[in-house]
Amino acid sequence: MSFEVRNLKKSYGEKTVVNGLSFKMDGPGVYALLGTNGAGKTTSIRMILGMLKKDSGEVLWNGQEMEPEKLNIGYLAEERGLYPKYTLLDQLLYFAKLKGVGRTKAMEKIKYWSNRLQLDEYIFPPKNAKGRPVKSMRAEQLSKGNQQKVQLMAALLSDPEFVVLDEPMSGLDPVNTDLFKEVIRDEISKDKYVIMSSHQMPTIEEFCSDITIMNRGQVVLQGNLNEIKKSYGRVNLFVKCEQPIDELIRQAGLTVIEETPAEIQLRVSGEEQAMAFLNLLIVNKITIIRFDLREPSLHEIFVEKVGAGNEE
Amino acid sequence: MKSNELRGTGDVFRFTLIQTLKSKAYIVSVVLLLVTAIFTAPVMQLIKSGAAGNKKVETSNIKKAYVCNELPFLLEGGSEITDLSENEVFKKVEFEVTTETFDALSERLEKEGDGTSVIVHPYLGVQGVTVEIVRLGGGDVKGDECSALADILCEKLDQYKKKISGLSEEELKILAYNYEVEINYITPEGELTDDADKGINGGQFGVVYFIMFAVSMICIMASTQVATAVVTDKSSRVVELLLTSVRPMALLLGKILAMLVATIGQMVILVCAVVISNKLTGMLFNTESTYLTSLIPKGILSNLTVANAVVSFTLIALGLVFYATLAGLCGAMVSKMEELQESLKYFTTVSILGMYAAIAAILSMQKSATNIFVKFCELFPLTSPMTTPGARIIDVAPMSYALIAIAILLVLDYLTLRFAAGVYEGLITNMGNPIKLKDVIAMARNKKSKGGAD
Repeated sequence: MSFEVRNLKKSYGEKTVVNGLSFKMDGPGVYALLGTNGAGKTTSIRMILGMLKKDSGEVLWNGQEMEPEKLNIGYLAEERGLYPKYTLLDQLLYFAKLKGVGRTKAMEKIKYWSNRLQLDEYIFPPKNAKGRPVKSMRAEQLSKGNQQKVQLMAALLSDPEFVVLDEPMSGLDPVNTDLFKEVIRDEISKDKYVIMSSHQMPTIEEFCSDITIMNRGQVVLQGNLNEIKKSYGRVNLFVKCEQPIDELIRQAGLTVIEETPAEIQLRVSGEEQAMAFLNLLIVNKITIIRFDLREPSLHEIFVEKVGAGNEE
Repeated sequence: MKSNELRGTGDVFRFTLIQTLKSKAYIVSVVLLLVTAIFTAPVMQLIKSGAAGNKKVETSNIKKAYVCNELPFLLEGGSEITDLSENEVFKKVEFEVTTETFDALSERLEKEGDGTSVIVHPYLGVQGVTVEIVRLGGGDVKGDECSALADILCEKLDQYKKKISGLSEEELKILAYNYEVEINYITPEGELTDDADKGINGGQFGVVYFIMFAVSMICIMASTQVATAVVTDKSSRVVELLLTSVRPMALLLGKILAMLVATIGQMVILVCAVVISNKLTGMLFNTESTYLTSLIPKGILSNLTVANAVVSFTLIALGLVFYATLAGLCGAMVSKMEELQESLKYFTTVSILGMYAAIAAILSMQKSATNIFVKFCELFPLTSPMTTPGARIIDVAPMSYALIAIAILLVLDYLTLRFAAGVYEGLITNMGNPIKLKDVIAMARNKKSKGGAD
């Protein structure tokens, strides 16, 4: 199976919001769409899912035009919500039914996810003091974080083969972020096709193998994340020593990017310059606590690419 | 319409219907309607029998009645009508034919302070015979007793008139015949039929007006609920999740049908409750014809055949779908509940226009049931669901008109639904300011959707 987006375009009047987005997933995995607010990520996702008419381009599933209603898709939208006045159980059963999941199977799934996401007390509240069953809570009675968990549950109830997560972790506390990450990791392990959009670069680095960075509707960088990083080379040097090394840095002709009590971040031209600086430290009998040569982080790449685009 | 556009309509319909039926607002309104419906028939019957009961007197308090006759044809001074020995209530009343003048008699009664006597004073007035009964104010004799006595004396006078006329029963019947005018015409096909310009009577007007009123009420109730349901999907931001499974057309149609069933259900419950309550009232009060039944003119629904019922229901249902789709369109134009009222002005304008035109048509039916304006309203889609079913049931609109009206509505419903679904689809992700009608029209022309990038 494969998923492919070809030359997707969308304009509103004179304004082009997505201009020629193309990418391909040859097999299961996680593909990241990155970009600043207004870059065109959500518009692209809406076009992929058939909610928004595309001006041109193709969205292919197994080489055929994708029909979202016929494909089992799990979607956690950025603009997400639940019916505030209806009980959680009623609406989860409804979402499952729309996906073609029967009531019995849906109840099994709801129970599984409710337990896994620690939502039992809201969806299946315990009996009251008189031993009478209590109705499932309404969405309006839940905190925002718990509502977000129910929304994730709704997206995954039908065990979808194609999952789209638009800013899945936004607004979550650290405990629930870990819970979400665990669930996403599980979905990835089930060989699913996942498209994820996020502003949280560490999350993307954690899950995604391939990325597209968008800026103002344009693709500014695209490809395998490791290869992109490799292409930048190992130019970030993080050093921590017991003695002051300012003079030695000056002697080696290195640029200080950032200096904190914990470490000094230096920019080197490559591994050779880093090795030369290491020798310099050893020769001067400097006690080295940390010497770490790294590729640029996704955050740095993102800021470089998007920042440059925005300065134009 | 592609089949996948309607995929999921049933699920949307069921969910919307169940949630509506479970909502407190719906339950409360049904309970209120039921209570009103159940108690209407017995309360009306009680009021009616109460009024009748007041008139009924077990044994009269009247001890003596002075007959002061001024009618020229009562040659024996009035004794011809005073034999009430067969009447249980008044058989003990002592009648005295007097030659005293009415004024003198009244004065005497007042002086003596006799509260158990009355004066019976028949005289020839401008309109005919008047039977005046005079009692002493504050006495034992009640006004209802006097009315009952007067009724009986009038009957006696009638019998006496017949007796002295010397005519047989048959001759008297002939004399009592009323006159009715009927103007018919022969159609080009050679059939004799009613005059084309004949207006509807009061009973027929009541039926047509009641149906128009009920349809309008259902239409307004269901349509605003559809608009609310459409906005709820957007304002609660559930719509994006739903759209991965169903198309906007299915979402819209499912909601429209659910709200119509819920509202029609409410009305059916109401009607059933009235009918059952009326039957029970009949049994309770031991009468075949309750007060409520007596309000419906006999034979008025004789044209309510199965075919007419089906045609009428279809027309009403299609009309409701049309209005509900318009309301759904208004709902699609906004993204927040507080903006809905403003957007619903388009629906309100159209529905009020339709209602007023229908009322005008029904009023003009009283003069002529088949005038050109009535014919127009029976076919025009804004008015046909309100006027044609009633007109069909009282047999003033031909079946062909009803069928043409159905065909027009079918086409219009399809086009409106497609247009509304297109707008809904185009604006479904719009969470910004409300869209104006001119934008919607421009959007339909350009086939371009509105929205914002992220």
